[in-house]
Amino acid sequence: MNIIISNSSSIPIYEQIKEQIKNKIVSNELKTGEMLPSIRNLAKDLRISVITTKSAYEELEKEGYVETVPGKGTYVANKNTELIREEQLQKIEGLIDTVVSIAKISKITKEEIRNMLDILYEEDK
Amino acid sequence: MNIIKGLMTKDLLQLRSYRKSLIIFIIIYFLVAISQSSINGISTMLVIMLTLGLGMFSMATFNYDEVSKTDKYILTLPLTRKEVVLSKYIFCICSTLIGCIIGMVLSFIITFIFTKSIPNIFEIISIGIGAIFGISIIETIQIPCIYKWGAEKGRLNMFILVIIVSSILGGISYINFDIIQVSNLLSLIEKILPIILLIAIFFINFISYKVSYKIYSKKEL
Amino acid sequence: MENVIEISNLYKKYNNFELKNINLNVPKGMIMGLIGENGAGKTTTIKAILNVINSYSGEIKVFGKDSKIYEREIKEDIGVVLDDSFLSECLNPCDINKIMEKVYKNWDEKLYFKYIEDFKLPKNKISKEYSSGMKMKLKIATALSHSPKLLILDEPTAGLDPIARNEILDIFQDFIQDEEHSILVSSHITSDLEHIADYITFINNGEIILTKTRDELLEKYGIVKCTKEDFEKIDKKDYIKYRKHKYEYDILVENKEEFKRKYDIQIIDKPSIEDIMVMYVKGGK
Repeated sequence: MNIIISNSSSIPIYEQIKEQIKNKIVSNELKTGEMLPSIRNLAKDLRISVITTKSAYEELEKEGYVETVPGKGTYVANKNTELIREEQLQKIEGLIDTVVSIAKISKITKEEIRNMLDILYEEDK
Repeated sequence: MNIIKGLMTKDLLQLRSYRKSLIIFIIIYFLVAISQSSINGISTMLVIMLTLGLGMFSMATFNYDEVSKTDKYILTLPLTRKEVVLSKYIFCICSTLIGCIIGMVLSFIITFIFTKSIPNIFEIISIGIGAIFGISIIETIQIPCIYKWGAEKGRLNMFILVIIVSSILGGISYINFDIIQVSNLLSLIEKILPIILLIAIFFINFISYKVSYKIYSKKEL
Repeated sequence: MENVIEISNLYKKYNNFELKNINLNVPKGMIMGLIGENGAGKTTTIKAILNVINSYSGEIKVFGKDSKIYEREIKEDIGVVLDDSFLSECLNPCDINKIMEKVYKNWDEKLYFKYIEDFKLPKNKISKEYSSGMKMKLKIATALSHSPKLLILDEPTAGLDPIARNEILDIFQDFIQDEEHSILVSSHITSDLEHIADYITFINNGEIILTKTRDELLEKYGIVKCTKEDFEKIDKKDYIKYRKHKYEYDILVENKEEFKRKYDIQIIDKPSIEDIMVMYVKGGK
C-alpha cells in the first residue's frame, strides 16, 4: 500500500492520509475486512505523530469506511456501496455546478461542454 | 546493597586504566623500602607506603566522576543520595585496607626471608593500623571537602584547611608541650594504642560520612 | 487520558533564573516534546522530575505517584538520557553492563547487548573513542535495557549530524510502539520534534507558553502576511502576536481557516514550530 504525504502541502497531514485510504477503499484496492496498519505502526512508518494517524482513522471511522475492534485493530468496513455512490455523485454534482456557472458567465454552450466531456472520456480509454 | 556494589564496580572499573601505574607504584615503593638499611625499616616502610598509596589512589574516582559529570546521571538511577555517599566511603576504606594487607603480607614475607624467623605479627598489624589512621585523617577531611567544593577546588581547600588546623594545633602545643610527658603517656598505652586507633578510625570515618551526606543531600547538581 | 507525568505549580528560584509555576502533563503512550531556547528552563524541569534538584516547591507525580516519596520505585521504570552527564568515558559497553546489572532490578543483559549490536557499537572499545552519535546511542541503549515505561531525554540530538539524528528519532518511534510507553524529550532543535512529537510544550524564560498537539500547531496555526493598512483593520483578539518588518507585517493566528473567513487577507503561511517560537518570543501584541 502506498501512502504519500507532503509536508509542504496546505492540506493537513491527517486529511492526506484519510483521503488516500478512502480512495483505496473506493477503488477496491483495500478490500472489505482487510486490516489496516495500527496507528502506531503507521505513524512510525510515515515518521509522523501518533495523534495524526489517530485522527485520520477516527475520521474514516466516522464516515463509515473503517471499523475499529478494540484490542485487535482497524479493518475496512463492509462497504455500503449505495452510500459511497451517493457521496461520489454529490461530489460530481458540486463540481458540475461550478462548471455550469463558469460556462454561463463566459457564454459557453452546453454543447461545447458536452464535447469536452466526450473528449476527456475518450482520452481516458 | 546491590546498588552500593554497582557503584563500587563503577569506581573500580574507572580506575582500571591506572592498573599499570599501580603496579609500577608498588614496585617502586618496594625498591624504596628495600633500600632502607634495617629489615625493620623495610617492613615498616612497605606497610605505610602501600596503605597510604592505595588510600590516595582510591580518591581518584572523584576526579573521574567530575570529568564526566557522572554524579548527575547517577542520581537519575533508582538509588538514594545516602547510598552514593556510603559507597564512596566503603570504596575508599576497602582500597586502603587492601593496600594495608598487601603491605603487611609483603613485609611479613621479606622479614621472614631475611631473618629466617617468624616476624612479630602484632608489630606489623600495629604499624598497619597506624598507617590506616594516618590516611583516614586525610581522607575524612578530603571527602567532605570534595563534596562541598568539587574534586579540583576541594583538594585546594582541603590543603588550606589542613594548614589552618595544623597551625592552630601547633600553636597550642607550642605554648605547653612537654615531649617527655607525651612519650611517657604513649609508652603507657602502647599495648592498647592500636585498639584506640581502630576506634578513632571508625569514629572519624563515621563523622566524616555524616558531614558528607549532609552536604550532598542539599547539593544541587 | 491518563498522564505519566503530572507537574503542578513547580517553582524554583536561582540567583539569576526563575522557573515560574510550571504545570505540565505528559499523556501516556505519547511523545511530549519540550522546546525552548537554551536556558529557558527545560533542563531544570527535567532535573526536578528526577529529583536531581530537590529544593523546589510544587508537586510532581510520575506514574500517578509522588516523585519524592516513591523515588526509587519510579526510577526503576524510567530510562534517562542527559545531554552532558553519563558514566565515565573510560568505560566500554561491557563495563556498563557490569555496573547496570547491579543497579536496575530489571536489567536485561541480552536486550542490552542486542541494542549494542543493533546500534553497531564496538563492545570492547571505551566510549571515549566513539563518535558523538555513537556516544548518544550508547546512552540510549543503557537507558532502554531495563525495559522502562518512560523515557526522559534531555537534548538527545544536540550536536549530532542529520543522519544520526534521524536514527535516534527512529529509536524513539520504535519505543513508542508499545502504547504503555511514553517519552518526554527536550530539544532546542525544533525540526526534530516537528515530525514525531505528539504534543509540544513551549517553555520560555522559565514559563510555559503553550502546550498543544503537534497537529494543532502545525495545521491550525498560521502566519498571516499583510500590509500596514490591513494590519490596522485586524481586531486585537484575533491574533496572538505580530511582528513588524520593513515591508510587511507578520501575524501569528491560532486558526488560519477562521481568520480567512473573517478577513479578506489571502497570504497565510503554514508555520514551522520554529516560526511559532520566534513569533512568541520576539513578537508584540
